[in-house]
Amino acid sequence: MLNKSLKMLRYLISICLVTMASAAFSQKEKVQLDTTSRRFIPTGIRVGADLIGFGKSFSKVDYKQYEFQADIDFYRYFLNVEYGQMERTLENSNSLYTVEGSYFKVGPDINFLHRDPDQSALFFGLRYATTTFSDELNFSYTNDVFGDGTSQISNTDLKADWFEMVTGMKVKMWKFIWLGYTARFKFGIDTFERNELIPHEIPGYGRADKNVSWGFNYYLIFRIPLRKGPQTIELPSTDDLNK
Amino acid sequence: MKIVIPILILSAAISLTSCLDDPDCNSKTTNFVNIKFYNSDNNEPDTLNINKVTTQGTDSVLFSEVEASYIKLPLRPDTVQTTFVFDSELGIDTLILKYNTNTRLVSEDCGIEMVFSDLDYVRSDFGSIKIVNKILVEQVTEDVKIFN
Repeated sequence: MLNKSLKMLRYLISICLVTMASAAFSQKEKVQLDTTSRRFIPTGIRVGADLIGFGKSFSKVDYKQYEFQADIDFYRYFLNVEYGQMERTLENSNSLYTVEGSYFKVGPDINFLHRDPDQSALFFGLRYATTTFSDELNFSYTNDVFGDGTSQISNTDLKADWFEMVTGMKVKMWKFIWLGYTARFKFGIDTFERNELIPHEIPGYGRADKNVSWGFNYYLIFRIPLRKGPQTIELPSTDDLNK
Repeated sequence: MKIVIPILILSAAISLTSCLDDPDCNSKTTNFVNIKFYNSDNNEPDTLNINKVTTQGTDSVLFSEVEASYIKLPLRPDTVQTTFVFDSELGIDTLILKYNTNTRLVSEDCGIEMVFSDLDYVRSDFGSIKIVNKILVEQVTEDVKIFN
């Protein structure tokens, strides 16, 4: 429980950092000049790595998750692709469960801050997600009538897909370094209730017994500019006008 | 930027809820199948004088010398078929039930849960038989009807 509270605190602090950063950058009154001719030509590619997954992979022995995302902008829309890999072992006194797999997500975002001169993003979007994974369960059982026993069951290369509604922010911190987070609502998955081994966890989705799932990523992002963004002009402040 | 604050709070709430969904350990599944006896003439509940019930795979006698209106029989977890032999007032009758087992790890704390599903019969020497529940859970008190 304490561990979870700490995790929560970490998320909240980092969310606050992103907010403060975006507030600080927005103090200068810059206004984008309206350019209609080339606005659907991408200005840059952002590539990010999920820090939560990397953090968990370092701190836990039986947990590995690496997740990356990339997006490219078309005016106020982004096209996102995400790729991740996970490997996890769960163990107790009479069972051992392992799952490994990779997942891929693709989908559009709409940016509500598209006039921001730093090209920060506050976005809402959709994802289609698909995964291929394998899992295995070794367990022992007790039975009063037929005696105790052990069993090993597995799934090989199961395919699952689902959809996600996402929202989050991406904020420029320094030159090409950005931070961002994405909150996810995941739905529309097959929970494989009829398999001999019902999966416990689906990579990229979460607990397999849930029809809907929540997720959260915190990204360290590098932005590769492709062309100059729309030009901006600085508005005179009210102090200047009163002189 | 006014819209940012509510969305931040929303996202914080979202990530909070994701931490609060650990499963509870109350597994409701069972490997026992409930069989009730009926009179085939009027479809009313009936009793059966059982000398003994045995099953393949173990020497133990499941029931002996009972007059029962219903019995609870265990299914083998290591196969997908269990054979029962009834020695009763009707003579020797064999009942073979088939099913699927679906196993899942509920959580590290709770351990595994085995679900017996798709219950059906392969062979029944009784007058007639009807499967009324295909997934075995503790709350259900009748899975199979046997008419004599």
